[in-house]
Amino acid sequence: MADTPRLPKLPEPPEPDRRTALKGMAATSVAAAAVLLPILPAQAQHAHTEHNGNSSVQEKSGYTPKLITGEKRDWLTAVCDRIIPRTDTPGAADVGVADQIDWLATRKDGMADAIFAALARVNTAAGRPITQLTPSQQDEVLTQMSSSLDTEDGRAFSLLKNLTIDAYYSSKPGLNVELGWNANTYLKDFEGCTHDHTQGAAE
Amino acid sequence: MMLQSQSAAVQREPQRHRVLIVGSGAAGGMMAWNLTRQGVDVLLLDAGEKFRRSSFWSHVKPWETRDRYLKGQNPPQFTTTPDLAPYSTKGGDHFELIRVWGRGGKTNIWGRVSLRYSDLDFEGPAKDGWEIPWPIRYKDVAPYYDKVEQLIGVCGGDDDQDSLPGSRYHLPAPALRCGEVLLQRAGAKVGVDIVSGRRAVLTQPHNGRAKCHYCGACGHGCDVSAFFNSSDYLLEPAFKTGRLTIIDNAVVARVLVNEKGLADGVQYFDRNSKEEHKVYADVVVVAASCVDSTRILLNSKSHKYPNGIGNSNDVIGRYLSEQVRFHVYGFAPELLGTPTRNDDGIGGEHIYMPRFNHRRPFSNRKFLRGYGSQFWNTGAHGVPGFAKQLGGFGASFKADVKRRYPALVAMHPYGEVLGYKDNRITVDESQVDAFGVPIPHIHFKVGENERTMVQEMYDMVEAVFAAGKIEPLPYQRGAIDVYGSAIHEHSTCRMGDDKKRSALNGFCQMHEVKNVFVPDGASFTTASEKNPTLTILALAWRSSDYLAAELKRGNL
Repeated sequence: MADTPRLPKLPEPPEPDRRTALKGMAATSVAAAAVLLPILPAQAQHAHTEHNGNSSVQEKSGYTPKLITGEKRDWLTAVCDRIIPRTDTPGAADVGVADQIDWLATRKDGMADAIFAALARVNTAAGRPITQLTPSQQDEVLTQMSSSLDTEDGRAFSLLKNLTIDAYYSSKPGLNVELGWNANTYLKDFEGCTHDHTQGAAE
Repeated sequence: MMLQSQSAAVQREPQRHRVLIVGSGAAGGMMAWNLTRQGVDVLLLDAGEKFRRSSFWSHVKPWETRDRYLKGQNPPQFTTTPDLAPYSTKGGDHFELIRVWGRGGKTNIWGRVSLRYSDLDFEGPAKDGWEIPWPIRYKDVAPYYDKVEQLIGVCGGDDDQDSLPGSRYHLPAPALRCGEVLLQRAGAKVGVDIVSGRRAVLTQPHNGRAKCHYCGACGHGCDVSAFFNSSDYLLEPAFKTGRLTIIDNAVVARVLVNEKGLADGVQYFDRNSKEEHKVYADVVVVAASCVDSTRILLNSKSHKYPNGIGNSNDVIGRYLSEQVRFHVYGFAPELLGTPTRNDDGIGGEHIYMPRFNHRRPFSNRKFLRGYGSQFWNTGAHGVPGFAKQLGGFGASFKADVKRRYPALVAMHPYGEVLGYKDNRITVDESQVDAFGVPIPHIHFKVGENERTMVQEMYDMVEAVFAAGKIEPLPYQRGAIDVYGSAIHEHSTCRMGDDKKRSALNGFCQMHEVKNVFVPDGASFTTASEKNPTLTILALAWRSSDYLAAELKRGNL
C-alpha cells in the first residue's frame, strides 16, 4: 500500500451519517459553541468593545477560561477576529471564540500548547505582541504567514484559522445569523428543492 | 411478565437454554425476534446496555453543547473505547475498527442505507472465479428482503437497476435537495444513473411507529425511533413474547464445547465487575458483528478444535473484506450565494448511484467487481468544515464561506474489496484484554484490483463534477479513506458449498459444528460495494427460519 496515497485531511462533515457522528462523538467539541446568548449586530458592538482587557465577555458567557488566559487570550482573540471579523454580522471576538477554543483545549491533550506555540509564531512574525499592531498591520502579518501553508508559520496560521472556523461557526451568531442555518428542528414534511436555482442546470 | 433484563450478577443458575445469541445488532436482534415469535426461548448476551432514547442529543444545537458538557451532561457513548475493546494491527496498516457494545449495536447509529444485493453480487465470484461462489442466489434471499422491508420500513424509489433490485414495499422516497437534483442531472449527462436512495427511515407512519420529523441528527440516535434499530424494532417486540431474556454487560469470550464436539454454551465476563460466568444452551448463535464474532470463534480453542471452533479448515479469520471509499466535495454553481435552505431531510443522502461499471466503464481498465456511490453532506449541514480548505481570511473569506455554504455537494464512492486469504483476523496470547482474553489482530491491505478500481472511481467522480460544472475542493487523486472506515467488515466466517473452503452453509450454520450459527457480516462470501445491513437482516431471518425448523425436527 505504500504506493497508494492516503486521504488528506478532509473537511469535517457536519452531521450526516453514523461515521461522521462516530467521529464527532469523540469530539462533539468541534461542533460545540460559545455560550453567549444570541448576539445581534447592535449587541455585538457592545460585546466587542468590552472584550479587550476586561472580563465582561467572560462574565456574560458564564464561562471561565481555564488554559488560555491573560495576554494569550488577547492574542488569540486578536488573531481570530482578523480571520473572521465583524461585518454586518458578528465577528469572532463578538461571539467569544476564545472561550470556545479554551474549552476545546481542555478536552484535548496538547492542544493548548499547540495554540501557545502558534501564537508565539504570530508574535515573532509581528515583531511584538500582535495586539500592539493595528488591524491592517495584523492582516499583513497573517497574510505573510498564510502565504505558504507548508511552513511552520503556515501551519501555525492554519491551526488558528481552523479553530476559529470551528468555534465561530458553531456559535449561534456564526451558524444561524451569518450562515442562515436554521435546521435540526421538527418538520411535518420535507419539501426538498423548491427553489428555481436548478432550473435549466442540465440543459 | 418475566423480568426482561437482569444484571449478570443475578443470572447465575446453571439453567440450560434452547438458543443462546451473542450480540443484539441487526443479526442477533433479528434472530431473537424471529425465534421468539416462533415459540423458541432465547437467551441473548449483550456486551453493553440499552441506550436510553431520552438521553440522545438529537436536538442539541451546536451552540448548546459546551454548556451541556460543563453541566455534566453527556450524550450516550455509543462506540467502544480502546481500553474496553482493544485490537491491534500488529504494525501493519491502520484499520479503523468501530464497534458499538450495547443493545442494538451499530444499528443505533448506522447509516440506514438499505440496498438489496443483486445477482450481480451473488453470482460475481462464480462468474469471475475469484474465490468461492456464494451458496445462495437472489431468488433465495428476495422473499426475505420483502419481509424485512415490510417489517422495518425502507423508503426508496421504483427506479431499480440490474445491480439494485427494486421493491414493492418501499415507503415514499423523500424529496431531493437542490444539490442532489443537480448531481442527478450531472450524472445523467455522462450516462451515470443516480437513483432514489434506499434508506431504513420512516417517511410515513409504519407499523405503529412515528415517521421521521426531518431533524437530520440521526447520527446522534433517533429520539422517536423513526429509523430501524434492532433494540426498538426487534428486541422490544421479542420481549413481549415472554421468551426473551437478555443479560446486559456480558462480554463473551469463548464458545464452550462438549465432549461430542458440539457447542455447549459460552463463557463471558461481566463488563463492569469482570466476573467470569458460563451459560449453557442447545444452540449458540454468534452474532457479535464480524470482528468480534471472529474473535470469539478463534478464541474458542479446545482439544477438538485447536484452531478455534469450526475452523479445522483454517478459513475462519481469513478473507476479511471491507470496502474502499473516498470523498470528494465541491460546489454547484447554480446554488452559490442562494439563501440557505433546511437541507436536513432524513439525514444523509436521498440519492444513490448503483453500480454501473459492468455496463459502461469510463475506461478500459480491467478489474473485478464494482463500485457505487453515496452522497451524504450534500447541502447546508451545520458547521461548514469545508471552510478549512478555502484560502484566505478576513471579510472576503467570511463572505466566501457564506456564498458557498448552500452549494456544497459531495460524492462518496464505495468499491468492493476482494477476499484475500492473507487479509485476516488472528488471536494469540501475546495481547489480552481487561478480561484476560486474546484481542483481535487485524491484517488488511488492498490489492491491485482495488487500486485499479479506485482510479476508475475517480474518473467517474471527475466526469460527474465536470458535467455539472461543479467546482471541486482540493483532493488527492488515488487516495482512499482509512481501512475500516466504511464499517462494513465481512467474510471472516464465510458461507459456501465447499466445506473445505468455507465455514458455514447457506443458512449461516457451521459445517463442522452444526449447533453454531454465525449470521452477521462474517458470513458473507463477498463484500460487494453495497451497505450490508439489509442483507444481514434478510440472511438472519432466513437463517432463523431454518434454525427454528431444525429445532422442531429435532435436529439440533
